[in-house]
Order: sequence, then C-alpha cells, then structure tokens
Amino acid sequence: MKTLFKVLLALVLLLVLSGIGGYSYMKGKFAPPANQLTVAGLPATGPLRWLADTVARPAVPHAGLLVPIRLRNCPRTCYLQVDTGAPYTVLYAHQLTALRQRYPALGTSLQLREKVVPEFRFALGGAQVAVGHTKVLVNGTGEMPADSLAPFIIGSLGADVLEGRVLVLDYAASRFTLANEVPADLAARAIFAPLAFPERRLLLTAALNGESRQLLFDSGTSAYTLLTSQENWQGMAAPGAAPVPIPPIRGAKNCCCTRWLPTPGCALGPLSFRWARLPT
Amino acid sequence: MNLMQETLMRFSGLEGMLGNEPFVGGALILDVKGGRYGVVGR
Repeated sequence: MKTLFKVLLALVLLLVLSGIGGYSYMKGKFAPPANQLTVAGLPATGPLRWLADTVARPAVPHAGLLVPIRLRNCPRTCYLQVDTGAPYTVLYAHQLTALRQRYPALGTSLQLREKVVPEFRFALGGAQVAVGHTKVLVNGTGEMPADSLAPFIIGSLGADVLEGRVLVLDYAASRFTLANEVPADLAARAIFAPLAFPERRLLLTAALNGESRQLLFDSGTSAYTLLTSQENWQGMAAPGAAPVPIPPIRGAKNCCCTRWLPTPGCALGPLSFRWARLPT
Repeated sequence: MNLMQETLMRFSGLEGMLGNEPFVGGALILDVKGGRYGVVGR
C-alpha cells in the first residue's frame, strides 16, 4: 500500500513538474526578444499611406499601412509597413540587396551579418530611430518600382516602436505621430479605454455586444474589421434576429463584419461592436 | 485566418483581433505609456 502511494505521489509530482516546465517553455517561446529600438527627437510626425492589393479579387484598397523613412546616403524614400501585430521590426532581404545595388553610397550600413543588420538607422518623420540586431526575413520582390513615387517597402515596423511611447494613427488626415505624450488637442476630443501591452502585444478593451473583451490590434493585416470566435460571434446576434450570412472577408466561418458604434460618453468605451445586417 | 493565428488566439485567451478598418475615417491613439487607447470619432 505504501509503495503504491509513493508511486502515485511520484507520478503526480512528475505531472506537475512537467506542466510547470511546459508552461515556462511555451512562455519563453512566445516571449519577444529584448527591445533594441531607440528613438531620439520626439515628437515626430509624417504621412500615412495605404498599400493597395490590386492582385486580390476583389481588390483590397487598404491591404497595408505604410510610413515613409529616410536612410542616410539614399535619395529614395523607402517605406515600412506598420505592423503592430509583430513584436519587433524586421527588414526584407531582397529589398536590401536591391537598395545596395542601386545606391552603392549606402556602403555597409545595411550589410547583413548572420541574418541580422547589426544597426539599422533611419529617420522617421523627423525623429532618429536606431534598431540594433534587426532581423532580416527572406522576403520582398527585390525590384525597386520604376515610378519613384510608388512605395518601396523594405520591412515592417513592429510594436517595439510603441513600447513606452504614444503612436497616433490619424486615418482621416493620413498622418501618424510618434510622441512621448498624447497631443493635448487630440486628447480633448478622444474617448479612452484601457490598453494592455503584455509581451508587446496590443490588447484593446472593447465591447462585443455589450460585454467587455480584449481584442488584439494588428495593423499589419488590415483587410478585415474584426475576427472573433464562433461563440462570440453567435453571442453577438441580436435576440430574435435571423442570422444573415455575412460575406467572407478572410477565412470564412470565423469571420464577421459588424457595425462600429462610437457614441461619445458611451459607458462601453470608444469601441463597440454589435451584430448588424449588412445592406443588401 | 491562418492556422497560426487561430491557434494563438485559442491558447492566449484573446477574444478577437482588430484590423485598421474600424478606425478608418477617424484617428486611433495608442497610448502605451499611459496604458490607454483613444478613438477620435469619424
């Protein structure tokens, strides 16, 4: 009996320990690397641009959000895609090769060393940004658009730029502002709600059919309005209303497009989603 | 939604993902320093 008890106890202990081990392993796996991005000269402001996907059918006019950057010794304005869903800034290998070939004056500043750019420096709307140990993805077409006004995207700006700062995406005015404080004129007109930033993921508190939920804001995948689970989506259906099939935007059944109801002074905060019939 | 997004969403306790579209026509303030976000209406 005593032996059986000991064996059982050992088994339980083993289970608990492997559970803890597995948890910390997964946590470490999903934890972003240390933030190596620094900014000098804030506040900074500049234009926001949309990247349109004209290959997709139907065409997606808001496929990506872009900000212009300037590199030293490079006369061409390059672009980074704003990707708040990524925990760090990355560069695209083929685009860097194209840049170095076209503008030899760039020298070794964008040279790869063991799949990273040791120090990536650029000017963003008047501020000087430096990203140490920038990861480089095998990505991009490697072709510079002949039209000098067409955006040449060399990478994406991740959530590392947001840590401890304020980013204003003014879609209406097509401008962005990166600052240390919220501009006073905007703060006076805005409705605020809590934001969490665990592991450099942007979680916005919003209302789904009257219930408070945390939603991940990912500016890098703009083609949809809201993605949520089937349960949440069904919970959002108005009582008694017959479900109307919603055209798939991306990835069919878990996708749903709903109306945005910003009502000043609303207790639910600035973002509230309700199930809505789409105009037919 | 790809498999990775779906898996991450299921295990991370996230309850949904937002793209840019809800904010288009207005402005979104991401005040990470102050732990709040703000929306300026459209």
